[in-house]
This record gives sequence, C-alpha cells and structure tokens, in this order.
Amino acid sequence: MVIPLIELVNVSKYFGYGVIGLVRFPAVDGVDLKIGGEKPEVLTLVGESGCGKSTLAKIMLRILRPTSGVAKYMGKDMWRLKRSEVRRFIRDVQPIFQDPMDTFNLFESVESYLISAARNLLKLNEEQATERIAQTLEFVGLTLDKVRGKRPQEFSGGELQRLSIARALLVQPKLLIADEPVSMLDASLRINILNLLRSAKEEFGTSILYITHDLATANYIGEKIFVMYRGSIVEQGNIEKVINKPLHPYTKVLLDSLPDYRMGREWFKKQLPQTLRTVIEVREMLLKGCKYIYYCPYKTQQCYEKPIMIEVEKSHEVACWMYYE
Amino acid sequence: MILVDNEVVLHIDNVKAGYVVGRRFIDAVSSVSLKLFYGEVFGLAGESGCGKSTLLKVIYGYIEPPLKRIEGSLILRTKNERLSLHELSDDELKRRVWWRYMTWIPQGAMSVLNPTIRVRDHFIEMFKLYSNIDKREVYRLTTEYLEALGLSKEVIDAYPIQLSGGMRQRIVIALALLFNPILVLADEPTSALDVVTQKILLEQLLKVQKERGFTLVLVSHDMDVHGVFTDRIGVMYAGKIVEVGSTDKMFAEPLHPYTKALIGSLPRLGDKSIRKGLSGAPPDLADPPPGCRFHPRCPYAMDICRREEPPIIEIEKGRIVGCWLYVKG
Repeated sequence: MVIPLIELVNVSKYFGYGVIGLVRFPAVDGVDLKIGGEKPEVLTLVGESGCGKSTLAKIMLRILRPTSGVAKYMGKDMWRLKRSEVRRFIRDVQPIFQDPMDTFNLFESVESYLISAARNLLKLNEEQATERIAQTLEFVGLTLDKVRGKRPQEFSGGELQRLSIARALLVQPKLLIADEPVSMLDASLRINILNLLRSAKEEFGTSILYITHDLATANYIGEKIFVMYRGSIVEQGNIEKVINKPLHPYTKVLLDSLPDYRMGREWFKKQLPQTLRTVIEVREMLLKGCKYIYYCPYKTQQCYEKPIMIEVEKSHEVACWMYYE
Repeated sequence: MILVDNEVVLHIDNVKAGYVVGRRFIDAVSSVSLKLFYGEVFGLAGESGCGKSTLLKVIYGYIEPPLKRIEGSLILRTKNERLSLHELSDDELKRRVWWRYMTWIPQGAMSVLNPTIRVRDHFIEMFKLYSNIDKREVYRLTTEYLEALGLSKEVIDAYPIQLSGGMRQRIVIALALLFNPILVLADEPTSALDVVTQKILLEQLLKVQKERGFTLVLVSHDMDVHGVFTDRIGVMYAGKIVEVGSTDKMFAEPLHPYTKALIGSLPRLGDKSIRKGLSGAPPDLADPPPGCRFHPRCPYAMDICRREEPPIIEIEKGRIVGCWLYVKG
C-alpha cells in the first residue's frame, strides 16, 4: 500500500460570517481526498465560485489549518511536522496561483527571486542554481537572458504565468497545486499554459491538481475529476466517465449549462431541471444534509442526512442518496 | 438574415479613439467602421485590452478623460429622426439619447445598485427622471419588467444586498430596458456569474430581446457565449476590427488567422486532442507594430504584412475581413 502524498480525512474549515463572525459556516465541509499514488496524474477540482475549492487548495498547501479533521502529508498530520519535514513538504508540494503578479515581489528582479528559491530550498550553490534555473526556464519556453535583470511588471501576463510555473517546477515537486492558473489570461494564451502543465507531468513526473470553474479546460488536461458543490465533493472519478455519464444532479446541471458554440441557438433548448436560485447561499452552506436539496428535482426525505460517497462503477463515485442501495 | 442599409440602427464610420496618458497615446479604437442592424444580437469578441469596452464607451458617448475621441462619425437612426451622436454635447446626449434610444450596461454593473435603498426605489427614481407617470403605474410596470426577466414580486421590496449576483444583474438589465431603447450595449454581462446562472440570464435576455426587438451588442471574451447567443460577430484585435460575419459562418469557416487561432484553441468537452495556441502576446497599444497589428504572432505573415496595413475587404455580403491573405492581385 502506497502512502498518499496528501490525504484529507473528513476535513472541514469554518469561517465566521455576519457582524462579528457569530454565524459560522463551513467553506469546506467533511472532505475526504487522496492525492499522489504510484504514478503521477493530473487531477482536476471543478466547482462554481464560492464552492470552497480555493479554501481546499489552501488547506492542502498548509496555508490554512482545518477547523476539524486531519490533513496528512505522507501519512502524518501536516500541522505536527518537524522542521525538516516542513522543508520537505515545501519541496514536494508547490502552488501556482491565479494572478501571476501575486507570485512575485514587485521590488525584486525575477532572476534573484528564482535564485534565492533554488538556493534556499535545494541548498545549491550559485552556479548550480543558475544551471537548474536555465533548465527549468527552457522547459517553459523562456531563456535566462530574457529574464535577467527584469522585474515582474516588465513581463506580460502569459510570460509571468510561465515564470511562476518555472518557479514552482524549480524544486521538482511531486505535486503542483494550480488554482485557476489560466483564468487571468487571454484565450489565445490559455491553451499554451495548459499544454505546459500537461507536459510538466511527463517531463518531471509531477502530479498536478488543476483547480478551475471551467469544465472544458479541466477535461482537456485532466485524468481524474472532483466536482465540488458548497464545500463538499459530490462526484469524483475518471474524467471521461464523469463527463459522459454524470450521476449527481448537480454535475448534470453544470454540464448542461456549459455553453458550446457548436450547438448555436440549439443550446438554449437544453432545459435546466431546476427553478431559479432565490435562496441565500449561506443558508445552504449551513445545511446538515445534502446541500443541493433546494434545487434537486429528485429529493427525498433521506436527503436531509449527509450523503456518503458511493462507488457506482469502477473509479466513479458519487455522494447522492439516489444511488444508495 | 437580410442586411439592408435602411435597416441600419447605428452606423459607425472610421471612429478613432484612445487614452491620453501623459505624452503617450494609447490607440484603443483605431479606425473602426461598423453597421449595426435592427433587431440583431451583435457580439464583439476579443481578448482583454483589445479595445472592445472602449468602443462601447465611444458608441455610448461616455467619454471622460483620459479617453478621447479623435475622429469619426456615429449616426443613430431612430424611427423618425437621424441623430449624429458625435456632434451632440453631453447634455444633449443625456436629454435626447441615453435611456430613451440607447442604454449601456457597463462591466460589473451588478454593483451599481445602491445597497441602502430598496429595488423598487431604483425604478421609481428612474421614472421620476425620465417620465411623469404616477407611482402606482410605476409599481405595475416594474413588476411587469422584472417578471419578464424571471424575477419574483418579492424582489421589488428587497434591498440589493439581499440578492445574489445573477438577480442583481437582471435588475440592472430591467432598468436598462425601462424606456424601450432601440440599442442596448452590454459589456460582459455574465462574466462575474457562474455557468448555471449565466445560462439562466442569457436565456431570459434572449427572450426579452426577441419580444421587444431591440438591437443588442454583447461584449464578451468567451467565444462559446458568442457562439450560442449572437447573430453576428465582430472580432477585435489590438484596437481594430479584423473580421465581421454571421455567427454560423464565422465558426464554420473563420477567415482571419487570429479568429482561426481563437476558435481553434478552445478546448471541447470530450475531446482531448492537443490544441495549439498563439505565441507571443498582444502588442502595446501605445506603440503598435507597423503594418498589420497581428503580424508578429501570425503564422502566415508575409512581407507586405510587416509594411502595410491590410485593407478591410468584403469577401461576400456581410462578411468582411482585414487581412492581406484575402487581397487578390
């Protein structure tokens, strides 16, 4: 049995809401997740804005401490690691954020930033560090000469996102957590970054967790998908199976509402099974049972209890009482 | 669709506008000519910073420094008059054109509502400013308009903060349609919403558009939204319109290399084949490249593209493209 790189066991994160934070609602609610087995793979986490996918990413990056549940790294609680283990954790798990401008310090040249990252984390001397950086930059399609002496604001958005991928790959991590890495970029540049992530897996053997609201790009690079709704994972498994045969009512709605130019006006004929969303979201967040209950056309009395993850077919699981026998 | 000249609602001719920042001039709308027809949904596509929002502002006449219009004419044809928008002063625009004939839904419009007054008071205020019907009638009309957009009666008495983003966006749209304008300019109306809400909003917007028959200009960076929602598309690149055509034809057979790349790079559900994007980045509009503005990124760039700007040519009725590849002789 391989110990997963990152494992979340019933992890929840509560945030305060209201005037003095008296109402506490879960942004992440009882999530179980395993990442990183024997082979590197590209995983995708898909959900609408506000569903808690970024919070989940921050928990996995050891930026946020879960309110309850355990986040494990190599089988150990992430927040009870020794200093040396924390160091190894940072080398193994690297982030790429949505806005590349946030990744770099505006007052420091990108080159010195990369060098200090390589030296601090990998304990290389200056020469080795430069070599490593040159290699990584070549992989993302840039050269050291192009980068030398420049500050972040002198690069375009696409270049900067390449640089932040290079920065993350510098330490050759086992897992890259990319939170909406292309949503700030223009359509014509997006696909290049996605191709880059795809080849990072081949080149460095890095697993990638790609977090997005866009199912089409998720399908493009992903092998496995997690669909998140209001803080819980509602469906997971092989991406082709989930997209071709969605099980959870929410996944179906999500797929049906994705615009596709190939359909033209015909797209509007696809009816969504739900009525309008008039419920205030926090109320949904506080639900104990299935959070989709207000919209679900198939709801039963059982749905007021929290649904458990059921394996319907091989590598295709869903958290819905409909499939419970 | 018939594209007849007497059906033109707005004729944009050779409009040039940009931002004056210090000594630099950012050429955001560079010699744009376009005709908009009655009752159509026209999509304006392009990447961020290509000037599509600026073009909308110029059409609407909302020109505040550093934005400046250099030249060009805008002629709006209503049922009984022809208005030269470029000659009207701000005051005249406000009195004669805005809200009555033309409305603009700016980007992030859902945050324009005042959170401390009820939704119905927004409507009452609008009616007070632009017409003189009594309060009860206002209430009736407001209900009617909101219901047309799929909002329930309770919404009228709610405060904007109690409503979700999609609902607020619909209220803003209802406000924009209050006086039956003939031209509605919508700047990224759904970009802040998630896909499910987006679908509902687009559905209702299209229904209202068909019922009332106004011309809708939709600015969006999402090609899929254009594909399902619009009748015609104009693609902008670096301040210029590079291609205009009907939506079906544009997607079936894009002509300009930029449009080709834009459509070709879209990932599809259920298709994992490798797609290629464009190299490089859009040019700095303060210092655009000579010749065709797309040539540094164009895979088909020829010698002439680096020297001379391509003419806008009409390939067939209603299908125009600005590219040297299609210039014969």
